Amino acid sequence: MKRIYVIEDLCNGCRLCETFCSSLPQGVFSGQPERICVIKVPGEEKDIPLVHCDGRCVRSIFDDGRPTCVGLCPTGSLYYAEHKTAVEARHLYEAARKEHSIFKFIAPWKWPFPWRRPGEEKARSPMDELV
Amino acid sequence: MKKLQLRYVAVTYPITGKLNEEVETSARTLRELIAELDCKYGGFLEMFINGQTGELNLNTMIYYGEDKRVPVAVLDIDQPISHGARITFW
Amino acid sequence: MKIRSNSDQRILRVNLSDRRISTETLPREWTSTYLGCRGVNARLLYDEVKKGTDPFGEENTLYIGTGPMDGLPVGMGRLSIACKSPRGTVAEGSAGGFFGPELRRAGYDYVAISGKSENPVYLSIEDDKVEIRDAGHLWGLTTYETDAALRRDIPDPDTQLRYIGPAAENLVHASVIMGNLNSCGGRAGCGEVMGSKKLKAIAVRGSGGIKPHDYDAFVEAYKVFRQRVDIRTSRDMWSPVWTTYGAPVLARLFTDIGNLMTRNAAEMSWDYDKATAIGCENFLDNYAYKSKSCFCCPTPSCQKLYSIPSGKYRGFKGGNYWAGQPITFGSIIDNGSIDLLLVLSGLCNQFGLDIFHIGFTLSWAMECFENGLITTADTDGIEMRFGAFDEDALVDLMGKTARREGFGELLAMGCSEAAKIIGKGSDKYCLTVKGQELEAIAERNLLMVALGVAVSEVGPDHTRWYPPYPCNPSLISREELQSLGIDLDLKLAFDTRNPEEKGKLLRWFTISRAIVESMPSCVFLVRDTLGFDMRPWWKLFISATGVELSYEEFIKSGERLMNLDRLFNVREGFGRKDDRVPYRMSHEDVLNFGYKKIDDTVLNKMLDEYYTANGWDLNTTVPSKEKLHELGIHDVRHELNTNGVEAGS
Repeated sequence: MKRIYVIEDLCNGCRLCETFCSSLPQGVFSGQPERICVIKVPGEEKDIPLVHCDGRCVRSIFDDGRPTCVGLCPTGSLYYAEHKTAVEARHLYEAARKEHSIFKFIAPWKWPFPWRRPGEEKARSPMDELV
Repeated sequence: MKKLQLRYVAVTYPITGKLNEEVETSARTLRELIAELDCKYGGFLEMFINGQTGELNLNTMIYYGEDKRVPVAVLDIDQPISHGARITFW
Repeated sequence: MKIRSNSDQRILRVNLSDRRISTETLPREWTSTYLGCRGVNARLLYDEVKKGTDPFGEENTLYIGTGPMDGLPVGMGRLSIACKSPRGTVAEGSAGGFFGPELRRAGYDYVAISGKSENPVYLSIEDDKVEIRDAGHLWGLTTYETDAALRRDIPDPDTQLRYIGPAAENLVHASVIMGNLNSCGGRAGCGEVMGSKKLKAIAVRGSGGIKPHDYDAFVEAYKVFRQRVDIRTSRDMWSPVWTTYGAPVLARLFTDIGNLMTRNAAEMSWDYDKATAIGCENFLDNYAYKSKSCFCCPTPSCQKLYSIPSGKYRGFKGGNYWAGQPITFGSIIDNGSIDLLLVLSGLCNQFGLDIFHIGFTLSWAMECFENGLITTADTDGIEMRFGAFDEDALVDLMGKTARREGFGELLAMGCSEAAKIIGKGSDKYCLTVKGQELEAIAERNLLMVALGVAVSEVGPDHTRWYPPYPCNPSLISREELQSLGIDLDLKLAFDTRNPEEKGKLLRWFTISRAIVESMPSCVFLVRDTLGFDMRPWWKLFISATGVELSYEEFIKSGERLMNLDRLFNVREGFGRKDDRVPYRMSHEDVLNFGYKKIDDTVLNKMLDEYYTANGWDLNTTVPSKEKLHELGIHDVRHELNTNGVEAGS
C-alpha cells in the first residue's frame, strides 16, 4: 500500500501542499490545513510537514492518482510510494546528498538532469519514479 | 589535437564532479566534443542534445569563446571548435 | 471561517498622528483597471500623495499592498511597497515571503500608513482587531532581534511580520523593509519613510479563506502555468539553474563575457579564481544548509540559509545569497573571500541596509581613496583600497553606517549625496541614476538594460523588466507575437549592443512585468514563453477574480501603471534630463571586450524610441492627451495642469 513519506530536511516551507490541500473540499484556499500542514519553527530554521492522510485526496488536481501535495511539492520533500520503494528512496537521498551538495535542497528524484549516482562511475538519466 | 579549457557550471557539476578542466581532443565540432565527454562522464549527450531534434536542449546552455573573442551563447551545436577555446557548459 | 471574494479589494488606513484607523472598499472597477498590488498602489500614490509632499512628513503615505492573486498559489506572497521617495521620485519595491497572504486572510489588500508617531510603535492586525502598540522595546534592535522579540510578544507562530532595522530608524539612504528574516523590499526609499514615521513593524494574522471565482478554471490555468515554470518541464535555460544552484551562478560566466562590474565598474571582468571562490558551487558545497521559499513558490530552492563553517566568522548565519552580492561584496570591491561576502550580506539584512547602496558606495569610496579624493582622515583610519582592506573594519562599517557614526555617516547618505560633500569630481565615480545606486546587471554590452536603468522612475530596479532575455525563438513565431499585439523585430531587439528596437523591447518588458507584479505574482517566474505570451497569466487572473477583462485590456492595465509612475515623476519635475546612465557608462569604453560607452547619441536614440512608442513627449516625457484618453486616465489632466504640467500632444 502506498503512503506519503516526508523528508523534513528538504522542506523549504513554501506551503503549496497545505494551501492546495485546504482548497480541495470546497474550493477555498485557507490557512486552515486539512490533512497536511507545515510547522514552521520560529527563527525560520526548520519547516516540518505533518501529514495526516492516506494519500487519497478528496479530489486530486492530478489525473494520475498522485496525491495533490506530492505532485506539487517542488523539492521532493513529500513522496508517495510503497514501503520498500520508500526505504530505497530514503537511502538514495541520504547517500546522494553526501556526494552532491545540490541534493541538500532537492530530492534526487526531482532533479531534471543526468547525474552520477553514489558508487557509480558515470552519470545516468534523471529518475522518473516518485516524481 | 586541440587543447581546450572547459568549465562546468551548476547543473553539470553533479555529472563531472569538477568545475574546470583542460582537455586535449580531436573533436572537430561541439557535437563531437559532447560525445567525447559523454564517453568520459556519461550524461552529456542526454543533457545537451535533444533526442528528437538533434539540437541543443532548450533548458541548457553552452558558451563558446576563443582567445580575443568574447564568449557567446552557442546556437549551432555543429559549430567548429578551435585550439585554445574556452567552453562553459550549463 | 470568513471567506473573501476576489473581486473586491479593501484598504486599511492608519494615521499615526491622530491614531485614526479606518477601512474602505476600493471601487470594484479598479480590479479590472489596475488589477491590484503594484497597479493599485500606483493609482493611490498618484491620487493621495500630492506634488511637493515632504517625503518625511505626515502627508507622505506608505502603501503596503498585495492583490487578488495573493493567498492563492500564484501570488507567491508578493507585496508592493510604495511611497514618495526622499529623492523625490516615486518609490516602489516588491518583496516576497508570507505577509501578503496573511494580510488577505485578515480581510485587507492594502495598508496605507500616513501621519507620524511621536514614539516608536508597531501595528498589530488580527482580522478586524487593529491596534497601534508601543514599540519602545523594539527600537534600535536589528531585524533578527525584532523578529524574535515580536514572536515573544505575539506567540502565534503563523503571525507574519514586516519590520525595519536600525538603518531605516536612522533614515539611512535606501534602507529596506524586511520580513521572514531575509526577505527585503522597498530600497527606493520606503524603509526610510517607514522609519521617519517611527513605525517599527507590522504584524498580521488572518483567519479567513480566499475563494477564486471559478475554482476549476483556476486549477486548470494553474497547471498550465506550473508546466511553464517547473524545472522538469520549463523550456527555459535559466529556470533549473536559477532555482536550484541560485543566482551566484553568474559570477564565473559574467567574468568570462565581460558582464561582471569589477572595481567600481572600471573593469568588467574579474579574476576567475576569485569568481569561482564566491560562486554557487562553493556556496552549496560548504555554506548553504537549507532551502527557504516564498508562499507557494513552485521552484525548489530560490533562497537558502547559510552558516560560515570555519575561520574567524565561524558560526555566522544568514540567508538569501543571490545575484547582487557577488558584485556588491565581491567583484565591485575586489573581495575574493566568500566568508567576508556572506558576513557583509548577512549584516545588511540584520541592519536593514540595502546591499546595492552599501556595495556601490564602498566601491565609490575605494576609487576616491585610491585617487586621493578622500584619505584616512575621512575614513576613520581605514585604508579603502580595492582588494586590500581590513576585513574587520569593513564588517564594523555595516553597523556604523546603520547608526550613522563616523565614516558611516558619509556612507549612510548614499553615493550621490556623499559625492556632493566630498566634491573634487568624485561624482564621476558614482554608479547611480536619480540618486539611486545601480544593481547587478551590466550596461555597456546590454543596451536594453542601460535604457531600463536610465528610464526607471524609481531609480535602477531590474525587477521592472526582468528577465531581460527572449524565450527561445523556436517556441514563439513572429506571427504569433503579432497576434498577441507585440510588434518587435526580435532578432534586432536582442542584438544586445545594437540600440535599435531597444525602446520598443523595454516598453513591452515594462508593461508585461508591471502586469505580473500587479496580479501579483513573481517576475522570477517569467520563464519559458510567459514573458511574451501573457495568456496564462490572464486566465489565472480572470478565473480567480471573475472580472470581465479582455486580453487586450489586461495588457493595457500594465501600460496604465507605467504611465502613472511616469506621471508621478513628471509632476515632481523629473523628465528626460533625469533619464541618464552613470558617468562611467557614458564616458568609458570597456576596452578589453570591445564594448563601447553609451554616449549621448546611443542613449538619445533609445530614449526617443522608448518615449515615442509610449506616446510620451520627447522632452518632458509627459504622456500625450491621446495616450491618457486611451488608457482611461485622462482625469489626471486637470490635476496635472494645476501643477503646471501640460499633457503632451
